[in-house]
Amino acid sequence: MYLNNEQVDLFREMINVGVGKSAALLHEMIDAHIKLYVPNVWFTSINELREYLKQTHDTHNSAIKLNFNGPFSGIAEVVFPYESAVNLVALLTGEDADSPDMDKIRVGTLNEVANIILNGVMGSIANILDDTFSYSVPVYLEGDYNFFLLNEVKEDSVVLMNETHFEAKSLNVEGKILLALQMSSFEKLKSGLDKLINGN
Amino acid sequence: MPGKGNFELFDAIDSGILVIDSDFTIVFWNSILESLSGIKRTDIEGKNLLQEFEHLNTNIFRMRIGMVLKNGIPHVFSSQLNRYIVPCRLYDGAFRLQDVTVSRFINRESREVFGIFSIHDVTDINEQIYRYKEMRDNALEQVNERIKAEERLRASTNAKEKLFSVVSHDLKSPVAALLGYSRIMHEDFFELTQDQLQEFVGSVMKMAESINDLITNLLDYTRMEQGLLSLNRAKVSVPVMMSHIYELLNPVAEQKTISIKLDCPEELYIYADENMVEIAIRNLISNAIKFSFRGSTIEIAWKRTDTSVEGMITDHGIGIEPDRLRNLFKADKNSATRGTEQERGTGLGLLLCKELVEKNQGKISVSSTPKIGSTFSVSFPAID
Repeated sequence: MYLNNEQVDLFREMINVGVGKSAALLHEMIDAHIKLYVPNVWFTSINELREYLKQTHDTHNSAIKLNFNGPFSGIAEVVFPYESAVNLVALLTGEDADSPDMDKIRVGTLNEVANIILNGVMGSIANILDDTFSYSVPVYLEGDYNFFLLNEVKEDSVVLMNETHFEAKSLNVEGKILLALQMSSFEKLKSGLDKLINGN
Repeated sequence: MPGKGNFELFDAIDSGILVIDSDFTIVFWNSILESLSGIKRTDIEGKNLLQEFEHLNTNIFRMRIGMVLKNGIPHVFSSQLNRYIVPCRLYDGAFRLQDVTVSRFINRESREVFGIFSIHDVTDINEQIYRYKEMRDNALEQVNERIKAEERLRASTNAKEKLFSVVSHDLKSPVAALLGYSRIMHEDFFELTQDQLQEFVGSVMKMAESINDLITNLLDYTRMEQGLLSLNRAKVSVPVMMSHIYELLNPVAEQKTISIKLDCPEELYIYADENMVEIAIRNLISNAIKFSFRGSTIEIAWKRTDTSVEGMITDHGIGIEPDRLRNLFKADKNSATRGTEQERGTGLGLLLCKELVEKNQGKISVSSTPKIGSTFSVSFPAID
């Protein structure tokens, strides 16, 4: 049990505020009604995540990674299963999902869209915790979770997984927002949440 | 220019670099951007980004850059969703495509906040992609053409194999029987009774009729396959055509004590090649006679619907087994069968019918119950 129910609720609220802002921005950018919401948030250790991923056989994904430093440090990622990524980009660009341009278009478009989502989420966390972070330039990756997450984080890290649903027109796209924090950083996040809950 | 000295390093980078301050004033414009845009840094530094490039003067752009400057989270502007940030033209007037990342930089000493635009020209990559796409489309088209050509070749090979099998089997057997009967009659002519002679002559006649049918069909089918059967469409009176066919086939039916009941409106027309349609209908009725039980009736009914003229030929005879029914109109799977009195089929008749009907924009279908009978239906577009 990494967080109590109150902390989980607050954290989910923070994430939802962030993705809500991202959805509004995307809506304005592409002139299509987009709904983004995060129904579930859960916390897991790297080992548990490895076990979970072994069962899902989720090997072909598109991910956009952002490293951040500040009051706490870690990695933020938006991960889309390949098919969702292709559908989402086809929706945003109007390009045929079978187009040979799709690979190049996917990289560029997903980079921008995921960047907007991560901006919303990290901006919301920073605002609510009233702190500032510094960030790396976002990087686009493809592969399985071992490649773009598990190899990079320390063994004592806690991973916050958020299922994210995109709803636009009749298309449903699912992705995940991941935040990987080392235990020390996680403790700082926890105390930040507690401060908010206690009104300090 | 505030902090300008800090950015000259960006001249050594092979991407376009543009730096603005928190008021959107351009404080640095690197040499690559000079080359790409044709705008000298001396002409642009100190000017406001949003006023210089009006397409950027939108709420959403101001908001996104404001977020970079405030939160420090880099923003990506992809060429797919934005095309370009700094307009740089190609020789044909089109704009170069750019992937742009905007990051925040805070001067440690002055604490001034800057936005750094890192501009990657991706026009060439996109052109390569479009060239590749063109190449792929052409290659796909060629592959499709090849597949179609192979299908045509396969169909033609099947037809040739069909002809070969018909010639080798359906023609050889009756000719062999004909030879057999003729030899017996020639060698034992004086030993044979009148009845035996009559029976043998009757058999010889049936063999000759069968060979005649087969040769007629073979010739028609071959001409059709070779495209030699030219299509001469005109207004055809269905009752007139049917009366020709009736006159021709009713005597054959009578020999089997089969009656033909024809129901056709007096004013019924189709737009078709009369010769072709007549061959098709004649074949269908010939089959109906072959496969009907003695003493039964063949019903032929023509009618007009809103959009088509439909004819149905129903026999009461041996019918068709479901397995055979499925492949009845397939050149490579169809085979000849014997009539109720062992009349020989050619195996080509129905293929010929189908092609003749379809060449006249018609359709042909069949329903059948073994030991009960079959109904062959044809339909053609209606005309007035």
